[in-house]
Amino acid sequence: MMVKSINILLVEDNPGDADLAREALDSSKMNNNLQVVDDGEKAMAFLRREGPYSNVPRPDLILLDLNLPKKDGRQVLAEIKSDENLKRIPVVIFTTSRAEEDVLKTYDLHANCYITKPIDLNQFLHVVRSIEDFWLSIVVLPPKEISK
Amino acid sequence: MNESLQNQQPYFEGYVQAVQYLTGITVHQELWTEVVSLMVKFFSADFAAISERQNEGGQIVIGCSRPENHPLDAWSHGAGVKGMVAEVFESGFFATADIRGDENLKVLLLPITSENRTTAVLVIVYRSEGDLSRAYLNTCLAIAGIIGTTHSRLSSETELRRHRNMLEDIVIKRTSELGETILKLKQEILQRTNAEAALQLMNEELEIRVADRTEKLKTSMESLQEEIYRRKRTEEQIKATLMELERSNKELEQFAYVASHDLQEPLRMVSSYTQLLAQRYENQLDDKAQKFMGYAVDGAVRMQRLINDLLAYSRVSTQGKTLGTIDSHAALGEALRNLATAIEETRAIVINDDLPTIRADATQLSQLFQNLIGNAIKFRGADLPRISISACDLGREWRFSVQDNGIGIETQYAEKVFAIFQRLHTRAEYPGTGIGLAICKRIVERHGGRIWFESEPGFGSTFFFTMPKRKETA
Repeated sequence: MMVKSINILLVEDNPGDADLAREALDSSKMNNNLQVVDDGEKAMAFLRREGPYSNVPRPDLILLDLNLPKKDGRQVLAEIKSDENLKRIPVVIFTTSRAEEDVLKTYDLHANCYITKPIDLNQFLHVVRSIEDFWLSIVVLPPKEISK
Repeated sequence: MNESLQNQQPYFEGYVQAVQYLTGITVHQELWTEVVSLMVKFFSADFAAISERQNEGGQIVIGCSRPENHPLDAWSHGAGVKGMVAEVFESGFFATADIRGDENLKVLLLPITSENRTTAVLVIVYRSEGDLSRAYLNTCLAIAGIIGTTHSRLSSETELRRHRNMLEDIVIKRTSELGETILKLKQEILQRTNAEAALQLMNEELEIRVADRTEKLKTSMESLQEEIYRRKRTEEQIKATLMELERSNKELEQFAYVASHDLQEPLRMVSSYTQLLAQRYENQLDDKAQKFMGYAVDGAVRMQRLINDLLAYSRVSTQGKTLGTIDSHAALGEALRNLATAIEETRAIVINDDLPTIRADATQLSQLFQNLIGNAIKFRGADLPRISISACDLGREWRFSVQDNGIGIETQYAEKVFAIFQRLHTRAEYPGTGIGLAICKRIVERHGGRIWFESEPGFGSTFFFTMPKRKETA
């Protein structure tokens, strides 16, 4: 039986958090392929396979931090959700912010879910694995490539 | 017949005398008496009389005017003469007659005409017989005519005099009336003059008063303008302060956001990687190193809680909603649902009276109940916690109370318990940052109310807070 490979795009400017996420996903049973970009513009270029990202795979799931350099997470979210080719990709807001205005704003922009990063390491790891588990095993995702 | 009666000459002289006499007669002389003596004197008459017609009740009465004590009384000869006089009055023509008696007499009756009317009859008696000559008769008729004219003249003069007198009377009367009128007018003029003077005086007083009022008005206008200017300035200051407040509020919100995101990320790094180190290198670290790492993690965790609590505290005002009419019982219900686990675990009994509908922010009222009841459970005593919530109508506000049978609070800490991050117990005894009551105080104050407690250590505490009924604060 062929093991399914899952592509995850993490948009995160804090390398510490990126490493923690990698820690969590590495210990996962699932065969995942984590890609990290550290600002909003790179995220959009990645998703549109522009410039250096012409050969990157299309992600099955996007983990999006909100406070990013250059293009901020809310903007990235708005662009993804208004792009015919990208809007079906589930976007998980994964941020330190607990601010109600962030929660409301991102759901208004059609975020698929909002998760606050736990301070405790084990909880953090657990949450990342839960995200992966939920979105990649439990949820039925749209077909990989949509016709253009 | 007397010789002289035949001669015309002496009658003409008599006539002239008579005419002179009659034309000179004045109203003050008695005409008839004069005429009688004239006839005797110049016309050889022995006796003369005048008979006048006087209207007395429509009948003609013939009176007589004659010299007194005359020895010859013509009238004594019977009613004959009276009848002749009446005839002359009737016909207007002269008449003669002879009277026979002890002495034969000749009578001549001459009508005296005035204004075409026979007003009198002149009776002339002669103690002789024979006819009267034509010349004598003519002269007598002429004399009679002049007598009539003179009578008319005298009547006219009398009338004139009467008129003059009347006119004089009128003039006198009018003059006196005029005098009175003039007097009255003078008085009136005096009164008017006085009145005008008074008016003038009044006018002057009025002008002074008007000027005075105008001055006062001007002064009050000026002070009003000053007041308006002052108010405007105050308003501008208030506006500026409000804008400043708004700006600082915005900054606070910004700060709160920064605190919720940017301040926590480094903390998470500290805690996560300390934990990762402890786990990854567990076998290479001794107990002491493990303990130190534990402190570091605990510090980071507590720091994060403090930040979150501070954030919650600041959000009471920045995230507060407009006050609306809400059911406080429903707010309590929401608080109790959030506390369900704690209530179940401690087997707390929560009871409440009827709670009113009030003006409040529902979320915040719910949080207020949650914090107070949460504290009551957290600081419970040895007995099962019993918490009762009630509300009391104080007229202008509602007073809520949350009573428990917990460990109580010493009243010396009345102020301290409501201050931010102030705690009365160690973290080992009771967890928490000490934000709960500070948030309660902030919520109550935002609603324009007060919060306080009464307590007896060991027997429980009662927390009170008030909520005004009127719109006061937003």
